[in-house]
Amino acid sequence: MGRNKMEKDFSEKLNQREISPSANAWDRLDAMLTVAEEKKPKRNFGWLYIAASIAGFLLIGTIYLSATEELIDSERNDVVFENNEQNPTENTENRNEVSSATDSSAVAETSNPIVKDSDSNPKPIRQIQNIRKTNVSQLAENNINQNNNQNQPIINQKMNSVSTVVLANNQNSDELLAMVQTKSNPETSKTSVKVNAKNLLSQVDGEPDQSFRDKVINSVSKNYRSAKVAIANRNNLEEENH
Amino acid sequence: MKVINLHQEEHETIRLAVGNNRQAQQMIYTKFSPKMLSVCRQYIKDLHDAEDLMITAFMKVFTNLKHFEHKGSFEGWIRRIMINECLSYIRAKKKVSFLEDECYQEDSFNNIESNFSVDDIQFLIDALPEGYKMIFNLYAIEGYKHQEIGSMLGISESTSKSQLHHARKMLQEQVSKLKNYSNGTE
Repeated sequence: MGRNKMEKDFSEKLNQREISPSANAWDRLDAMLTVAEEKKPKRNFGWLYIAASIAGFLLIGTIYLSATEELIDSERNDVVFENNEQNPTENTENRNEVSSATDSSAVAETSNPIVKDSDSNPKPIRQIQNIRKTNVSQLAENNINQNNNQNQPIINQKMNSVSTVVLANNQNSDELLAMVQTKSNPETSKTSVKVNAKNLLSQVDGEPDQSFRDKVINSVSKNYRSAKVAIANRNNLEEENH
Repeated sequence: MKVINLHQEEHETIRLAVGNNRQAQQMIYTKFSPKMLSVCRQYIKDLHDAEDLMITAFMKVFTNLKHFEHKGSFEGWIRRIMINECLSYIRAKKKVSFLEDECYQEDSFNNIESNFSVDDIQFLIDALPEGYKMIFNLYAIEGYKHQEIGSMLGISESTSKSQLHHARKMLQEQVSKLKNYSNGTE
C-alpha cells in the first residue's frame, strides 16, 4: 500500500515550506564549531605525551643496561688489575738487582720504586673505573706509608751512604752493573717485595668480594675523615694564630 | 550548463567547508537552514526546540562533512542527518514505545482529497501521538519504506505498518473534523 493523494499533497506542501531560523542561530553554531576546532589539537598533544613517555622509558632502559655492562667490565678487569699488581714486584726486583749494592741502599731504593709504581699503577685503573682507582691508590698509599714508616729510620741513617753509592755508580757504572749481575742479593729484595706484595695482594684480593655498597661507604668514610682532619687542622691553625 | 556550474560550485563550497572555512560553512547553513528547520518542525512541535535540534544537526553535518562521498544529493544527506537527530531526540525525551498490532485492516484513503494549507497540515500532524507522528512523517512525507523505517526506529516492518494504519485512521478523523469545522457544519 503506497502513499495516497492526501499524503502526497501533504508531502509536497511540507517540502516546499521554509522556516527562517532566528538571527542568533548562526552565532550559536559558529561558537560550537570554534569550540570543536579548539578541542582537536589536544588529541595530538596526547599522542605526543605518550610518545615522549615511551622514549623516556627507552632512554632509561638503555642507560640502565649500559651501567650494568660497565659493572661487568670492571669486574672482568679486576683480573687484569691483579696482574698489574704483580708487575710492580717484578719491576722492583729488577730495579733492586740493578741498584742494590748494599743492604741499606737496597732498602732505600726498593721503597722509592714502589712509590713510583703506586703512582703509575692507578692510571689504567682510572680508565677502568674511578671507584676501583681510589680504593687501590688508597691501599697502595697505605702500604707505602707503612713501608716508609718501617724503613724511614734506616733511610735516614743510610742516606749518606746511598749518595756515595750513587756517585760511585755514576763513576763506574759498567763495573757496578757487572757486579750486580753476578752478585744478586735475594734476601733484601725478597724482604722488601714480600711485605709489599702480601699487603697489596691480600687487600686487593679482598676487594672484589666487597659489594658496591661497601666500596661507596669506604670512599665516603675516607672523604669524611680527610674533611674532618682538614677542618681540625684549620681550627688548630686559627687557635694558634689567635 | 548552468546546472553543471551550480554542481561544481557546491563541490567547491563543500571542499572549503571540510577545511573549516567558516565562510563556506555559513554559505551552506544559509542555503539549507530554512528547509531543514521546516523538516525539524515536522517532528518537533516547539519551534525553539526544533531550532536547537537543527543547530546540533548542522554541527554534525560540518564535523562529518569529510565523509560525504558526493554520490547522492547533498540536501538529501543533510536532511537525513536532521531526521535522525529529531528521532533520537523524541525517543530520548518522550520515551516512545511501539506496540505491535497484527489485527488491523489495510484501509484505503485514496479517495480523500485535501486543500489544506501548510499550517493546517502541520496542525493535523502535531495532533498525532509521537509514535504515529514519527512513522507517518517517515512514510507519508519523507517517502521511506516500512523496512527502512523499521531499521531506523528499531522495530519490525509489521509494527511500522500497523502504526501507520492507526496514524492514518486518526488523521482521517482529524481531517473530517477539520473539514466539518471549515464548512461550518459543526
